[in-house]
Amino acid sequence: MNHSDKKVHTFKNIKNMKRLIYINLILATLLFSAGCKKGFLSDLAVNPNQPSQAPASLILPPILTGYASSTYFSSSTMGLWMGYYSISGGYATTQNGLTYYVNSAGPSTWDGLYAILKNTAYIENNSSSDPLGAYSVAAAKILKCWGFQKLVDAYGNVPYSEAFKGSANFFAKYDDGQSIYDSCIAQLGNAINLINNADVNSTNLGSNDILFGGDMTLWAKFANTLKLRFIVRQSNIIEASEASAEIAKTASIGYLEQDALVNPGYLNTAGKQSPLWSAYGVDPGGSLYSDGYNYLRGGGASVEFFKDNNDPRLFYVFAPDGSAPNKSEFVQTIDTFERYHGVYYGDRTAAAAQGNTGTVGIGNGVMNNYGAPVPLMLAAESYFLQAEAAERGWTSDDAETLYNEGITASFEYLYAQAGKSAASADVDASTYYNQSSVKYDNTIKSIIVQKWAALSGINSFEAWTEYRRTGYPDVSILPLSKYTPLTSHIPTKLMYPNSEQSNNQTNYNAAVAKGNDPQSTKVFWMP
Amino acid sequence: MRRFLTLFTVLMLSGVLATAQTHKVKGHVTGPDGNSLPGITVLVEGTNTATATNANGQFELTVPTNSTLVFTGVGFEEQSLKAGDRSTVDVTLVSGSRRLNEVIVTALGIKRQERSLGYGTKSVNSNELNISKPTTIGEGLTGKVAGLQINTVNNGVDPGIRIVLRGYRHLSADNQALIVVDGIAVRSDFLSTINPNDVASVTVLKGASASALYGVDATNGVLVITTKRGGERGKPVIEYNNTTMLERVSYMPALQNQYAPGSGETGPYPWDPNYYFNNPYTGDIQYVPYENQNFGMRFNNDPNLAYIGGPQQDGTFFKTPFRSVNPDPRRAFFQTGYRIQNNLSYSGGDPKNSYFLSVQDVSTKGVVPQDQGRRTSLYVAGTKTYNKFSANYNLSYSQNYSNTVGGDFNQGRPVYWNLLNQGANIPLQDPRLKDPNSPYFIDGYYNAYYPNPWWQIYNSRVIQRENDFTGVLTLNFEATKWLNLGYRVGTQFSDFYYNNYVGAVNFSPWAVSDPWQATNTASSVGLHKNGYTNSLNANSRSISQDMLVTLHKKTGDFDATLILGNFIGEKPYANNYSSYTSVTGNSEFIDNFYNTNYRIGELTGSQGINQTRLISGYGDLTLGYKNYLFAHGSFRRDYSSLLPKGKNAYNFWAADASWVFTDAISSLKNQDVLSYGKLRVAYSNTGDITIGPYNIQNVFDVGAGYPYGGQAGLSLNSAYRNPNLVPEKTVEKEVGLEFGLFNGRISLDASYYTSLTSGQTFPVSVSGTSGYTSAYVNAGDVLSKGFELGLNTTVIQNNASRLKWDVNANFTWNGSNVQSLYGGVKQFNIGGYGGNTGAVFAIVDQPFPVLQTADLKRDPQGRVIITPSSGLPILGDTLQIVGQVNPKYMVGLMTTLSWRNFSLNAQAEYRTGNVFFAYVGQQLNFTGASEFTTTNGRQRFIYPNSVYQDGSGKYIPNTQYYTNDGNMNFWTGSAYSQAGTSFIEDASFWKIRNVSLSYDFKDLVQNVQWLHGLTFSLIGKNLLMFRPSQNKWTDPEFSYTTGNNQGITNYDQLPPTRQYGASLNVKF
Repeated sequence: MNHSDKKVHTFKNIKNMKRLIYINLILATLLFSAGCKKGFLSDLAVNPNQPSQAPASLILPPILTGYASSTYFSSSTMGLWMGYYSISGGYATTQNGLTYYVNSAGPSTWDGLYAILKNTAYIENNSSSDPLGAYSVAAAKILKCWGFQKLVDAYGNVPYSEAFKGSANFFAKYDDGQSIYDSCIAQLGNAINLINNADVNSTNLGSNDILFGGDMTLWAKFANTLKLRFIVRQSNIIEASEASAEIAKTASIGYLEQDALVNPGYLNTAGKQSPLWSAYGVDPGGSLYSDGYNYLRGGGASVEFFKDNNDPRLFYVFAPDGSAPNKSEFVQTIDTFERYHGVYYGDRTAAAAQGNTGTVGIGNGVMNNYGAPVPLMLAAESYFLQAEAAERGWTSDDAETLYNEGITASFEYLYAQAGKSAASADVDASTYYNQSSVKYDNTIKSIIVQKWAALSGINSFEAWTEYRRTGYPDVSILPLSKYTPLTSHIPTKLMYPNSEQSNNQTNYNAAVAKGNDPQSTKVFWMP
Repeated sequence: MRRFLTLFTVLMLSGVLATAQTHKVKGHVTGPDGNSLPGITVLVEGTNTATATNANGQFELTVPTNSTLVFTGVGFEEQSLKAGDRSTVDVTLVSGSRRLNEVIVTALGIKRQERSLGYGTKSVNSNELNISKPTTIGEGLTGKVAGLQINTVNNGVDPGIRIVLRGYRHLSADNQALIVVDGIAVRSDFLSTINPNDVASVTVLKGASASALYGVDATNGVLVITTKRGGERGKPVIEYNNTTMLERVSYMPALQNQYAPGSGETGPYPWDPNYYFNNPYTGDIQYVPYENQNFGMRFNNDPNLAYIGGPQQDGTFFKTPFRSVNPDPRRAFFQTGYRIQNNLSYSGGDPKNSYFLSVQDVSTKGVVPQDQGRRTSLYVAGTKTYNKFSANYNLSYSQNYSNTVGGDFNQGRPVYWNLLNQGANIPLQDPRLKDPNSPYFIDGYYNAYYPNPWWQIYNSRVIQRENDFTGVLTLNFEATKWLNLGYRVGTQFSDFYYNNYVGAVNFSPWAVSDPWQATNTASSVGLHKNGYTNSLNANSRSISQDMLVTLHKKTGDFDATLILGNFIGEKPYANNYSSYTSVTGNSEFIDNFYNTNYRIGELTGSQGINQTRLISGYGDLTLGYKNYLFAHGSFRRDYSSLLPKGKNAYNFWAADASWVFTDAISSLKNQDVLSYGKLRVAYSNTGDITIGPYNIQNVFDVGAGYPYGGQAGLSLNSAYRNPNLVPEKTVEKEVGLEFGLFNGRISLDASYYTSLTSGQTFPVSVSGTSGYTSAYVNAGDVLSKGFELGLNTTVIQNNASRLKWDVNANFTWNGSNVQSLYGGVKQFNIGGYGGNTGAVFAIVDQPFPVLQTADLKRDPQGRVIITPSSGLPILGDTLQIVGQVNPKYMVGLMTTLSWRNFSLNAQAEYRTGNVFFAYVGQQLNFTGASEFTTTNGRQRFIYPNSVYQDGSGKYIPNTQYYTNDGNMNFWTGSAYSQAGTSFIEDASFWKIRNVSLSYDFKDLVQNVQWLHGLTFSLIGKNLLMFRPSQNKWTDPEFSYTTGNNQGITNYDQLPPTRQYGASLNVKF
């Protein structure tokens, strides 16, 4: 390459270089002007991934499905305590799991419920100003009381008046359980009033109401039944006159005569199945959930109670020995008592000896399929609450009629789930409650024992709560854990969670000072 | 031999031998004191022709006419001399504070003389980085820089890495250093996509003072990576390198091989009455051939027990001797992996123009059967100068691919875990277990919970493919001698594809009927379980520009440089991809076909976009006086899109000074002992916004499970988004001393710093009763202090025998203290297993982070309290702090011993002062697979060092109360097995990270004109590791996450491995 060639070459280079520089200066100017442009930064303030506003009608469904999931959380804890279930011999278990052990890392009701409840607070705060939002607000109030009753019943004193304040107060004080109860009874009355006095043009909840399909009369009855539960729960401490006066205020509304069932349209897709089915049933591909169905086995107390009383609900609450929900026997209900065996809580020897094939699992009345609705409250519970109020003389209704209706409603629910006719349920129920061992004997005990039977596998938490209030069923039906080395007593409350200890220390300490021992601390309504 | 080689090459190459005119040059090299200097390298510039002076300081060399000779030697400044046609060239070298004259690439690519720096930095050049032929930059840097902690958190084909400078300061936000490649910030995992051979240097800006110019994001220090631009001297060079390394598992958790599967199931077994018998003393069931736990009887070769699983449908049995398989089948499952790197580069240029091209291919086969990976990269770079203009560019492209085993079909657990739990008597290499057509493969596999690992290898895969493209263009216009205009535009694109599929499983009706009456079998899932597939596509893009105006003026004794700049950039947030779409088919109904279109049930998926923008203006002023006193300050103002308008602007500033006292004080000049010395101080006030984008507004999530068909549902998110956040603040102070002794044969660099990060923007856990479980607030002060020491010495230098021994060491101490959290909150959970097991916390008045876990109840002397009736320990009520998870002290040692053409290089690292939680230990005890569970021969025992309380409350040493069980019940159910402290281990280690022995074929190269270099090395990596004997589990450097919650290992990490191999390097 000679000298001049090189020059030409470099000359080309300059041209290219200059072009490159110009291109880049233009680019730079563009970027720079983009940078100076208004909105270059603030354009990104809006979250493109998640909305910051939501209509009340769409916030209600997750509250209900959230509660639906939480009613079942108790199967593997309180379900064991209440004798409904035992743990399969094929699974390793700890002493804690066999001795009513409760610690602060225990059942996670707390965070789950508060997470749901903040949505009810949001609706109350944001829809109250909406002149046509009465139904949403009423539903939110009712659901808030449903949740707080559970919190008080589980833990005693809990934050209520200072809850859900966001950055205004991250450290909510604990309110007295009694005051929360009083507030809720009033709130339920308010909710009923809101429904009754609502503008005729109020927005109907319509299909977003996955509990009652927009029927506000049923919401009012639900509120009234819940109110009755708040009152009956205080049977040990309330004056009869006060109870009957409070009941009388809204007695004209009436009580639930049908099961309050949540169903958003559960699907056979992972994460969208009915809660119990998705924990203990069959996955969308048709396989048993590992550590699911075979984990919980029928409890001796429950199985023996049904057998002793010729109670055909046995065939729906439990599935016959050795069956599983992905096998045909599960669906073709086998109605021979000999095919059903349970194991008492803590009896590891029997659990090991019988194996899964020698014991029963959850039945198809309790856990029917992926699309099964979830009861927030059974009609049976409504009747038993009314029966108890009548028996205590708080109302003038006939306790025996209500008792029999409660049993019938329980039969109807289980039979319906299992695809049996209501007529056969009614026939079987009347045969059942006319037996001398079951026939109403004018005692609270018989009402609570029947309520316990009706709640089998459906709401262990409520059964445990009624046990703590009344002491029923007693040891003749529900013996203490058979695990010998360290048998203790059925807990009286849950312990406040670790998260409160770390994150709300001052208020937690004050609450603990009033008692936090699951073996001795009593919720205010306990005897 | 040597003669033969010479002769051989001369014969072979006589045809191409050079015809240029050459002549002989002789010379004598002396030092400043007039003494002869042996061992000085004399190089003909632009060639590879070189020699060294002999014991008398003399040399002789044949050189082309008009060439330039370059003289270099340790402790002396480099000197160049034109030889012209002279035949004698005598030289006197100036002893060097050479180190301080090195030019270091600092923040924003600004090059500064080392002597002017007032803060701690360390530069690692290409040779140092690549000495052990690492595949990633992280691997090459490990242990080489004081204050820099690099953790390779796993093994395997594409392991995660974590890079932290000067310890942790952020409670919740990322603590990893910012990675800047050629001026543009990249994701930290981008580091593993770069070919280390393309790197010219890595400058480690350790503290905030050094990195303040990067503004936000730079609080954690910066690694400034500068890639190669090509040679400056002479002819093009083609360089080829092949490194082939073999990889083998070095150790596994200690597994027991004495006891058979079993856990207390009952029989009898329908097919063989002999099969069922109880221990007459304990009632324990002896051997359960389909059990997943290993609490059965002792192996005894009893032919009656020669079963694995039960009978197959055809009545046949899998029989094998009732004893442990030798060699251990769980270890033998792992294969010898390999990693082959091929690297080809072409470079050249002159001082004005240069170019560099490289291609690299790294092919990996893992130690896990069928695991494989591949990285291919292409890199082009260069510089062009024309008069006052110069341009500098690089483009790189890399493709990373890996295909590794995924979770099992049953519980989705990793293959390593399933492997660890196979009984010691299971012959995993038996073709009946490996062959998919064998009835024992899956249908009749004995283990319900830990499915056949071979099934998993074949049917569950994770495939990842990533394409990365980076381009940077820098333009410079030197308007006048004192004014320089610079402009840089850089961009990075990545696209990432991830797919995980798990095959369908089919069982025969016979297997599903539970013929062994085992209750739980592999077939408990049913006749058929559909497959699963999840795919993620993600893209990220960043684009940024810097404009720089540099003013430089020198008057008299003063020298001033002022840089003014502007930055505008858009980038994906942190390590999240800026946009992603993920789809999952949970139930793929065609066997071995994985497309989400062919599924049962709904398609599930998600998508998101994360983007941030930043505008900044900055200035940087350096003042020098007489080239020994320097003051430097920088200022930057950032406007960020992360915070609301009006609150989104904030300032960073830093100031530092450096004083080269050996030049300033005349009596210290040109001394023999103290060859140079520098004192430095720095102070900085910087900030950081550690929230992600869109975190200033409360939002609604889609309700759990929603939509249910046509039913929508929304639910408030549980994290409170605070619109009132301000950036956090870090104040860092640093002093340092650097000096050299004996002509620079010993050089030392010491730093001490304190750094206080306050008002952090992190999501504190708040009481769920507030409606939120976490809230972003400005809270939390963390103070860290540290001391760093770097020592470089040449222990032996004997030029006559061409023997040289260098030892470089670094020492790091880092202490941190959480001064406050939020309100009265005393602790903040960073992550971990929680409950009684280990979790990582920030706790007020403690180092950060610490592990906290449940302990057993102890008496005041620390002895374990037992319950006399059961002999068992009792679980304590409160969690205990058991130690910090980051090492308190780290020592790195590097040594190079060279003798003639041989060079032996070794690197070791020591870390101590921290603990880790071995989850795998807790789990292996639970399953009875660990050797630990055989401690007492599975018999009842007296709990060691235990006491019990007598009636009066006194603690009496326990010598009589045996545990009520020494077998499964103890290892699975006792308080011992639940207390995290039982599995907290001292995380100290000494690792010999690299050893390499190289031979440089200098003599051959000298005689072959077309050959410019030939080196052959033998390399070993992680050959030895020393750790406390109680740590029977794994490498304490591992972690189950690359997040802040280090200190927890589990079974997601593969066992530690050793690598050994060879490398060949040729230059043409």
